[in-house]
Amino acid sequence: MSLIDGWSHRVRQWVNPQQHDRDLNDELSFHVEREAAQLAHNSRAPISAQDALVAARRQIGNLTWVREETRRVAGLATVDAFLQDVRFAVRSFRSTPAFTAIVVITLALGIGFTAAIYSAVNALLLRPLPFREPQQLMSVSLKIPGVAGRREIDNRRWSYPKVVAFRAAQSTYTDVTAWTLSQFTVRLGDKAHRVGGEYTDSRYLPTLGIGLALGKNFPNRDSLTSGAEVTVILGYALWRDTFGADSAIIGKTLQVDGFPFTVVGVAAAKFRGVSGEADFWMAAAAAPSGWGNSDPYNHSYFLLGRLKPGVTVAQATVAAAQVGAQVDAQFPSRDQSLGHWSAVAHELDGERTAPNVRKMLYILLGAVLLMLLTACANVANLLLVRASARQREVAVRLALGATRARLARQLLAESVVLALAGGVGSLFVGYTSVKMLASVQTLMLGQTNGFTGLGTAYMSAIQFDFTAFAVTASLALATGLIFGFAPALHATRTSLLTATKDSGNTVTIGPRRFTMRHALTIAEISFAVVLLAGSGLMIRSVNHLMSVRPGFDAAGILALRVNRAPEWSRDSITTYYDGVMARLSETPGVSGVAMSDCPPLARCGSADAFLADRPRPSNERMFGVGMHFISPEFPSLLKIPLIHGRAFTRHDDERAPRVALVSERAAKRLWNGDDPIGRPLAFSTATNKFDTATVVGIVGDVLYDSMDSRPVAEVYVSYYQTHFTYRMMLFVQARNSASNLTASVVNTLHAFAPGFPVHEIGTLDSRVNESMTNVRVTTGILTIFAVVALLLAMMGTYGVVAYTVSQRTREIGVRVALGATSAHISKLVLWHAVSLAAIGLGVGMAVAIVATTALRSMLYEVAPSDPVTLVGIVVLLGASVLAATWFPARKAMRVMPASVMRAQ
Amino acid sequence: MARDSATPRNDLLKGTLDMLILQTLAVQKMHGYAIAQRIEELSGGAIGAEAGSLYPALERVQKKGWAKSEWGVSTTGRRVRYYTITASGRKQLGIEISDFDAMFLAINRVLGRA
Repeated sequence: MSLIDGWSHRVRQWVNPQQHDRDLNDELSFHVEREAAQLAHNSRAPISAQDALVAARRQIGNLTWVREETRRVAGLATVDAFLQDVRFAVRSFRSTPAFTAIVVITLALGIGFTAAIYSAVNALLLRPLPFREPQQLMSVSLKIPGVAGRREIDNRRWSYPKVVAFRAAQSTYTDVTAWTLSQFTVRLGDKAHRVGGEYTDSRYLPTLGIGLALGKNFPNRDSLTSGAEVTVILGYALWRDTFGADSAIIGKTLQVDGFPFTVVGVAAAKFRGVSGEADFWMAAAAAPSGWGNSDPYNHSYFLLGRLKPGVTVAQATVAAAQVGAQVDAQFPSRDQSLGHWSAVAHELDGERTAPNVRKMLYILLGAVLLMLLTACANVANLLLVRASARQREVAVRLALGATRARLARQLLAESVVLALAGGVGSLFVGYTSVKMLASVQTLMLGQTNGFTGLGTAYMSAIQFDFTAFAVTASLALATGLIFGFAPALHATRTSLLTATKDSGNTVTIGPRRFTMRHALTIAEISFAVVLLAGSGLMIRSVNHLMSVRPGFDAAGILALRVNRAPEWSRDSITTYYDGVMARLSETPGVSGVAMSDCPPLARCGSADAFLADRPRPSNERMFGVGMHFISPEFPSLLKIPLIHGRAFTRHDDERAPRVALVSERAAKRLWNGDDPIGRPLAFSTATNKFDTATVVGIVGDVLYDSMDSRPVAEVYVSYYQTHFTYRMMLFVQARNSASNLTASVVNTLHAFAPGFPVHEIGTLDSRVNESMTNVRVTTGILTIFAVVALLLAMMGTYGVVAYTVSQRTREIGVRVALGATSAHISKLVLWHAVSLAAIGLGVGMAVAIVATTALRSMLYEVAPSDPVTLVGIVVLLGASVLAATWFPARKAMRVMPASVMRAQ
Repeated sequence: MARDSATPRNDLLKGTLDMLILQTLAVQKMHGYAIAQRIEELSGGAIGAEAGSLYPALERVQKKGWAKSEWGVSTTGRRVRYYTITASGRKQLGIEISDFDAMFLAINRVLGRA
């Protein structure tokens, strides 16, 4: 009790010391009044009230002393002293604004950027996946061997029958499940919602260790049974926000893309599937037959397994290959040239971020740590200079009677004030940077091709990480304490005698001391060199990329992917797409429409090809070509030049002879310089047969893989002459701005066919840009870090040179008196700076040559030892160091021997 | 921390003053001036609790949690701070009195009077 009473009393006073003062004044004046009244009462002679008060005050004594004594007892004197220290610190920083600003900004950038990058790394690579014991979860994919000159593919999805076969044959997993994400229109009553849904099975939630908030899991019918009840589990957010958290929803019927599904449960809150984008789940096994789940060659599922306890990843890898072979035996590839398929197992955790994003993050983490080190070195350097400049001040104050404890408290207060200012700044920098990182759109492209990361690990999942902030901030603040507080404290040990006698004007004799400051400056310069090397190489690479001509003109084109809706039969589909294109070309603002199964910069189909007028070669000797199914307008709409022959027309339909266009590269590779026009070409089809078509034209090369790829042989076939029209890409040429067209295009499509599935809508320009986002973002961030590091290195050089000049003023004066010219003097100063820069440059270059090899795979037509970059760094650094040395050198040149002597 | 300026003699007095304040408050709640008056009165004018010792002492006993204060209105209608002894203050008073007795006895022994 007494403890609580006592502390509440103390806290009240610390929180509001002014109130304490007012109360005490009131109390004391009351005391005085009563004393006066008493005196007047006791006095024999009548006495005026005024006289009584004066007498009372005299009797009581020094009221100020009473007040101060009471404050001291109350412990407010300590608070007073601390506030005084803080005020003093703020005032002294205000008198050195440049120093203060530099330290605060350095701290803010160093801490802020590091916390931001770490936040990204944590969100995308480190944070455990939100499933039970995620380290046991494995992602298994099909592996297509690299035969006939093709690259091996090891991230192929599964068909549902193959999933069932894998599950039956395997013994390393407690359970195996499958999922795939798509967009659906969900309708309940008269409300329709466009949401992401995952096809999966009854093993999904138990395998991930996710419970249900309501209802039950899917009924356990995972073999393919037609006619079974089709069921759906709702996501918690969808249920709560869209269906009003109605618990009576269990058993009700939902329309998913027009098919009835019975709601059996609601998943636990926050669960959004492995994709991270699902709002509901459907049981795949019981899906409508038209949806293709019973087709063993419809590869659209990701396979997920939970390892049995004690099974290692290595064992799982071996087992996956064996079981994969069994699955291949059961469902052999229809195209024998594809060889025997197998399966590979990867840890799910390792798959969650696309490899290029993972790489980018590691590079940025390394870069930001270098920058943080540079920042710490800079703060240390500045504080060391400040501490030594204050040696005299400290000595004088000690001589005037300040206790060491009092001085130490004050120096601590200064460190705290600096640290707080830097901390606040870094929160701002960090928070802003995280926002910018989270808004980077880098993963959209390529999602269509394969598994390029979990939704839980998108950039948008990046949040400001306070742990990272705390760790980084304490590192930087520890630097501040060690290099600011410690030397200052040490200075309190100096005696007045040495400090005032040795007043910084002595002649340096013998070799100059290599001090901590020199080491820090060299470190700063070498860190800056490493960062400059990295960003310089990336800038060169991006410049190369930007000048790449991808072989088509993306200007003014809106691209969107449309999927074949399940109710369309294969036969009516060309009619259907023709209708779509006709409607779109009538839309205001549209000047042309074309279609292809595959947009540029997103590799889709490939085939084996051979010259049909020559003997058929063995499978290994066939040509690998990119296959495209296009509408006749496609090449002209994308301004892919027709080099020779003719383009497709509407008359090249299923009744007409089969025709093909080939790319320039294909013409060269397949026909070796002969004219391919009129020659027959055979190419493999999805149905494991070879089709033959006559080449009617040659078109320009287009980069279908990425901006940094080389053109390969491409073959175009009219979509009227093929059945491969499962999903297509529409290209709409706008008269004005393509992005303004989005809404009207979607409206036209939905007016034509309600619920028409539209995905990936965006300008072709933005697809081109997004294909380079990774490289651009990395370059941009690296460049910021490099510039900051360079500026810090300049400050460090300036600080140490300026300090040395001020320390050597007398020596310089003597030299001038003895006949040294200003050229000699500036050489003296410059030599000092240049020697620091040279050492820093040497160390930095050595590190950079090793470190930049990490960038190799991100560089386009630039070698890590690119001479232009290296020379550029030397020039830039040299210029920066000279600029930083200019002011101290000028100051040194103007030293007047007479004034130096007089100052003694 | 600044050095405590109190001398040993003051220490003795200070401890005693705390005890006297608590003793006074044990009877009823009072304001500062009344406490000083009461101590002076009861000691027959021998002990004058001066403001310079009284108010720091009142601060001290509050900090220790032995007394609490609240603002009220005096008989003359003025805003006045009244002090009240707490339960732990009463316990402390008991301890201080017995300590004082022991000390008093010891001093008397030294002086050869007991």
